[in-house]
Amino acid sequence: MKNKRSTSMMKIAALGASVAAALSGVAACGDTESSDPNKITFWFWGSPAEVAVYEQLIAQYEDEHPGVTVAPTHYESSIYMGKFQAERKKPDVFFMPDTDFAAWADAGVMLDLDGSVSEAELNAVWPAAINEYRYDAQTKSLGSGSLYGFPKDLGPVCLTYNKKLLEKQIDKNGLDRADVYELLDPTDPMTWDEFRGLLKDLTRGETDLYGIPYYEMDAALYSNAANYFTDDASEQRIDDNFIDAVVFNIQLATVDKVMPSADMSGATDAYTRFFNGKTIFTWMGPWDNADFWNYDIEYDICPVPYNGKNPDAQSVTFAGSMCYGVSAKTKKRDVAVDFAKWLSMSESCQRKALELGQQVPNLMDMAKTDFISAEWKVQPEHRSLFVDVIDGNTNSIGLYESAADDRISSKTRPLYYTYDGTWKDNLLSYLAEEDLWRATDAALIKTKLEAYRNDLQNDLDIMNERWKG
Amino acid sequence: MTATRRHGSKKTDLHKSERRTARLFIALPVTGFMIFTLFTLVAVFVFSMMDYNVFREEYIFLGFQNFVDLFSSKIYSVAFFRAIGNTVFMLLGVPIGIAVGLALAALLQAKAIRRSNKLFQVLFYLPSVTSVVAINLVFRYLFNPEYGLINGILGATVPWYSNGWLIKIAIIIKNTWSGMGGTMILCLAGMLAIPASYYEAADIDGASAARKFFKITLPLITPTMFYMLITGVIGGLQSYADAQVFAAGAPGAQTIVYFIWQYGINTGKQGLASAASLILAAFIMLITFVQFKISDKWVYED
Repeated sequence: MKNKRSTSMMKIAALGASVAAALSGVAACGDTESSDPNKITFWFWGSPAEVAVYEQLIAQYEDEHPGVTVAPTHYESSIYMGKFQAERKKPDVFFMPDTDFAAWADAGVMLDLDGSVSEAELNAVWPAAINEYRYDAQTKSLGSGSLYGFPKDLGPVCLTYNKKLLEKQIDKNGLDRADVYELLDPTDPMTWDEFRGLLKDLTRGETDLYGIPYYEMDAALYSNAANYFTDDASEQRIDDNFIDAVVFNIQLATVDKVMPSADMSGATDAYTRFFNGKTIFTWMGPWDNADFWNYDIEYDICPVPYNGKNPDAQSVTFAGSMCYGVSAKTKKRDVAVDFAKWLSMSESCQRKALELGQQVPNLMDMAKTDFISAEWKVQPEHRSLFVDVIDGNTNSIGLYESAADDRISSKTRPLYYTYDGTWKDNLLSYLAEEDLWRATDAALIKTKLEAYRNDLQNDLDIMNERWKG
Repeated sequence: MTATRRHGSKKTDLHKSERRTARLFIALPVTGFMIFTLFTLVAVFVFSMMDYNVFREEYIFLGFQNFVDLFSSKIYSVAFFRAIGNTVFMLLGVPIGIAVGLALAALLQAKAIRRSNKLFQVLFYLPSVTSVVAINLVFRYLFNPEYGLINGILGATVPWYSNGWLIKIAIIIKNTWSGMGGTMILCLAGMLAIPASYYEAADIDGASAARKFFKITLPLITPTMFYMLITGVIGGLQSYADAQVFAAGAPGAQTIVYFIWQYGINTGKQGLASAASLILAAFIMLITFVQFKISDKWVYED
């Protein structure tokens, strides 16, 4: 009898567990509102070094604005937007990445900042950075209309290399230093062929050393005059330029063997490889300086390579960016706007951010003088490249004799131009499902990509329907 | 008669009072069930019929389109079926874990090490009180294809992360290790509840240790094993940390709950994720029902 009861209890417990296991939910709750009129909430993400930077910036703001308190909340970048999405009462001031800007500006979550900033203040900042956060809710178009975010930064992603490791491999493989450094000239970008040749020469016979840990797809596409879609994101653009860029990217691993294979790429993250001397090149944005300075490593930067066989191609990287948004429902509008604007445009904050290795200053004058000043003995030596890339084909900061020679520029990430990222998630899933990251045959890759045109177009149509109706 | 009536009245009063108290006790879990399970279930069912625009907080009614997409869309169906396949394959870890826990419990019952029984219990149970995330991270390092200890010992570059089968095997190994303490304790508790007289009678009959284990111990702890199987399978079907932390989202280890997270939280397709949640809930119910149905054939009842 006792055993029977025990058996029944076990069964009841098991049944209870099965019922309770039906579903689970996630709720987020954070400190997003305070009754103190001078206390505002601020959400952000970043590496430990960037967190330290923001702690200092907030302390400085509070010093300059007695009585005001900023309550920061930090999330890992991978979960930040999920938390933001789940939070019904948005924080007073928050990071908003360019990739998500359109949807949140369109939803009315972000405060219209047009009346909160003067022409003079706007004119001091990179025009591209300001225009990136304009949105016309009537026409559903980006780059014009009201300002919905103060730019945090404009961060062109460049190639960076470990100088000591580079020179060690140059000597080991009997290469000429002058020849290699000529290829890395910040004013004269390498072609794809030069780049893959260089990496092969540098890693000849190595089994534990790669040339580069991965290749940024957006940089490959942009540097071959390609894109996923037309400028208004209405039509897919899987054309020959697109296919060539993807083939170049995949074959760095599968044919040239200068990049980890699909089997090994996930084993170690790019920066761990780089700082452990397991790869000569990797990617970096200006914000990475804060981390790089903490390592005993000599590094410099060079422009992204372009397809020398394509007469329309130039060295075009992507510029990562974020803005400081203000909640449209904030009850502390003045303080919140002031803090966001201070972070974005004030000389004191920009100078501090510059010194802490956080970014290329948003203030053009500061970027063109203090940031690239030779007096400022910090790495990377050719940091003026960052500024020149931001400046694009419009001006020269000193790398070139004239603007006409300027062959490097940047463009906002493709996700900026779309309402959500389903189209890209699905495309990446397709590449993985079709095992294209292990493909060596360019013709096979071409066939598979061409076969995906209708699916990409379908995703873009659904996305545009949700956005523009 | 009067006394009886008075006694009966007291009894009735007592029953009323007890009933009230009992209702209060019951109210708490029932309320919890209504809010956190029943309401959620209904809400998820409603969400599964919608396309939710997370930015505008708008719903568009889709009918059963999300369910159709799960089974027929070029992208979602591949990911969903892969998630089901991965999850089901990794359930192999449940019987393996029970077998290992049972073996450990049997060893701890052996006379030779009974003196140091407590020490071994603590040692074997340690993984069960260790953070799941910590275990996943440590095993991720151990299985690292480039620098991991396991490949170092094997002297080969085994692609544990990228090969769809190998990553599942790695997860089963990890989960067996981390779960063996819990299964061992439960098996041990079941064994200790078996009356000593059964073994004494078997000794008199000259039964061997193996015969005693298979004829007395094993049958009598089948209720415990049934409980472990049910909870293990449910836990396995809800597996998430393996895919997220250990496998860092590698396709070969993506589970159903990872699929739900990926689409519901990460990409904002809450309707699709809700449909997948409902299917998972139904699947759990079905599996549990089947297990109960066939339990009569192997679970001991006195």
